[in-house]
Amino acid sequence: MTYEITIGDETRVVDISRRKDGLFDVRWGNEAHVVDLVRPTPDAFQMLIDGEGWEAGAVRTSDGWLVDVMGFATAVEVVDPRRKALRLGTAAAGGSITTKMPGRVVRLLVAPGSPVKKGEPVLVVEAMKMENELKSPIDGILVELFVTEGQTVETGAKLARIE
Amino acid sequence: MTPPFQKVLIANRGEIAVRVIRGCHELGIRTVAVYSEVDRTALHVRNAGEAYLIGPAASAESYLVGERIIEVALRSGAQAIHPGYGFLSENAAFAQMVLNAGLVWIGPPPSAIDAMGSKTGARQRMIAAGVPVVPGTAEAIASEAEALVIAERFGFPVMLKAAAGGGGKGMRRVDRAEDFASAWRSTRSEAAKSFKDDAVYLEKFVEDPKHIEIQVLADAHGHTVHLFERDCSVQRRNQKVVEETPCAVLPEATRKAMAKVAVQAAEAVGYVGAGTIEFLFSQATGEFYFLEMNTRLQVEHPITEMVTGVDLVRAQLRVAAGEPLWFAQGDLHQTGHAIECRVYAEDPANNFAPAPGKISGLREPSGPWVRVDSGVYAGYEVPIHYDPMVAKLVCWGANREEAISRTIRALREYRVRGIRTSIPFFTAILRDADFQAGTYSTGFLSPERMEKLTEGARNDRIATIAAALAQFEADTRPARPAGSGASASAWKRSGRPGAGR
Repeated sequence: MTYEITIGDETRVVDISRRKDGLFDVRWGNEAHVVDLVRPTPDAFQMLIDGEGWEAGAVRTSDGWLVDVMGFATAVEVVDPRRKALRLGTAAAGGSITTKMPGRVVRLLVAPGSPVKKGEPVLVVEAMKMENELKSPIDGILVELFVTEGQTVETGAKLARIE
Repeated sequence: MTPPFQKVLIANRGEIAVRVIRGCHELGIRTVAVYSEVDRTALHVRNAGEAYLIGPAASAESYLVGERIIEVALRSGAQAIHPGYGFLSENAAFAQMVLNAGLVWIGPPPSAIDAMGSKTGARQRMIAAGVPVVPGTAEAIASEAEALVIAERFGFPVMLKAAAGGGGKGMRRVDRAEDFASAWRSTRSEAAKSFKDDAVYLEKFVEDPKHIEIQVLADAHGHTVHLFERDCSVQRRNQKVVEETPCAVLPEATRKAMAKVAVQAAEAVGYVGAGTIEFLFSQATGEFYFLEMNTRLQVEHPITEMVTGVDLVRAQLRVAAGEPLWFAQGDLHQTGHAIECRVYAEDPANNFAPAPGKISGLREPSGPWVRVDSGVYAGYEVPIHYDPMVAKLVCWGANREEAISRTIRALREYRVRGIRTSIPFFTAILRDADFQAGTYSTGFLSPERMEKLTEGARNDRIATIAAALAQFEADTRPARPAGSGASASAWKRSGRPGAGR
C-alpha cells in the first residue's frame, strides 16, 4: 500500500507492506524501517521499530488519524493516492474556514456578500471559556456562512466559504 | 468519631467535586452532587451518594444558579454546602444565601469573602494590617490623566488592573508612556465587559517575579495556622500549569516572614476555613508583595497535603462544623517535596486551543507516591462548556530531584487517548534546565520556550509509522485485530512503554 501522510506542512509518500513473517516494512524517502507490531487494545500500537520500543495510540478522524506518541497527540492526514483524484475534483476554488476545535459559534462578524481581507476575523467560536477568532484565509467575498450564532460545531466543520 | 455532618452538597463539578466527595466519604458523610444536562455521565455524579439535575449546560443556568442549588440541598436534607473552587465559591452573596437558608457554608464568612473580593478593597485592608503590597494605587483611578501621572511617578513598566478582575483577565502591562492611552482604554472596556465594573487601578510592575502563595487554615475559635508555601510560577496566559512545594529557592527567613504575614492577613479579615494568600516574590531584591487572597480551596491544594500530611478538605469540613483545629503551628512540618501537573484538554501543537472530545482510552499512572485527582474516565466525553482542566497529577518525593524524576516517570505511564492533552508538555518542562534550577519566574513559559518545549515533545517520524500501520490495518482488516479485547490487561500494555525515553 502507498499512502500520502501529512503532518503539518510536511507530506511523506509512505510505502507499507506486511512480510511473510508478520513484520511490516515501512519506507519513505531515504528511510526504511522494520516494525514488529503488537495490538494490546483496539487503539494502542506497541511497536518495535528496528528493535526500538515505542507505543502510539491512533484514533480515527474525518481525514486520517489522531496519533499520540508518548502522549503527544498529532493530527495525521492520510490520503490513498488512488482516491486523491476524486478529492481534488470536489475541492472548491477559493477559501473556506474550518474549525480546529469543537465549540459554539458565539458571534458572526461579517455578513454574507461582504468583502473580507486575508486575516480579517469572520466569526468567533468559543470552547471551554476561551474565545477563538477564525480569520479569512484569503482576500475575497464571504459567499456563504454554514452556521448560525449559538450553533455547536464539531472539529473540522466547515463554517464559511470565501471566494 | 462522629462525622461533622450527616450529608453535604457539593456545588461543583469535575475533579474538585470528586475530591470533595472523597473527603466526605472518608469522614462518613453522605454526599449530594448537582449537575447540568451535559454532565449526566460525569464522574462526580456517579461517585456521589445522590445526584440532582439543576439545569442546562451553560453555567449561568446551572452551576451558578444559587437558588436552585440551595433548593436541592434543602430537599435532599443536606446540612452544608461545599462550593469547591470557581463557580460560586467566592460569591459572598451566595454564601449569605446559604446561611440564610439555615445551611452551613463550608468556607469563610461572607464578610471575609467580601473584604478580599475587590482587589482595591483588599489592598487597603492589607496596607492597614501592615502587609506589604506592590507599590500602586490603593483605589480605582478616576481619569487617564491622573493615571499617567501616577504611572510616571512609579516608573514604567506598570500594570493596569481591573478592580473586580481575577483569573488573569483584565490586566495589561504598559512599558512606555506613549502606549498608556490605548492600554488605559482597552483595560477599562475589558473590565466593563468581563466584570460589569470598569474601575481600574495601577501597580508597579515587578520585574521577573515568582508567584509564591501561602496556604492558611483557620478555625472559628481564633486559631490560624499556615501550611507553608507553594511555588506556582509556571504559568501560561496567567493560568498555573505546574506547581511545587517547597519553593526551591526561597530563603528560610523569607518563608517565615511570608507565612507570618499570611496569617496576619487572614486574621485581619476574620478568616475561617482554608484560604490562600498569593504573593509576588522578587528574586533580585528578595522582597515580596501581597497579590490577592483566594477565599476557597485551591486547585493545587494536594501538594500541600502531600508534604504536610494534612487533609485540607477534611479540615474544611471539621472547621465548618465548628470543631477547633486539632493541631498547632508547631506540629506542622514540610516533609519532602511535591509537584503537581494540571492536565488540560488542550492541543499543544495548535497554540493550546481547547480540545474537548471523547476519551477513547485512559490509563492513569500509579505506583509509589503518585496521586491522580481526576474528573474523567475512559469513554467519557469532555464537554465544551467548562474549564479544560480534566485531571491533576501529583507526585511526592523525599527531595526535589526524586519528586521530579518520579513525576517524569508517572507522565510516561499516563495515556489519554482520543483527545489532545498537555501531558507531553510537562515532561519537557520538568527536564528544562531553568525548571530544574528552580530559579524560573512567571515569565518562564515565554512563547519562544513554549515553541521549543512543544517541538521537543513531538515525534513526526513515529507518528507517520503509526498512522501508516493504522491505515494499512483498516484497509486490509479481515475481522478484529489480533490481541484485542479481553487480553487488554494492564501488565501487557505496560510491557513496552517506549523504553529508554
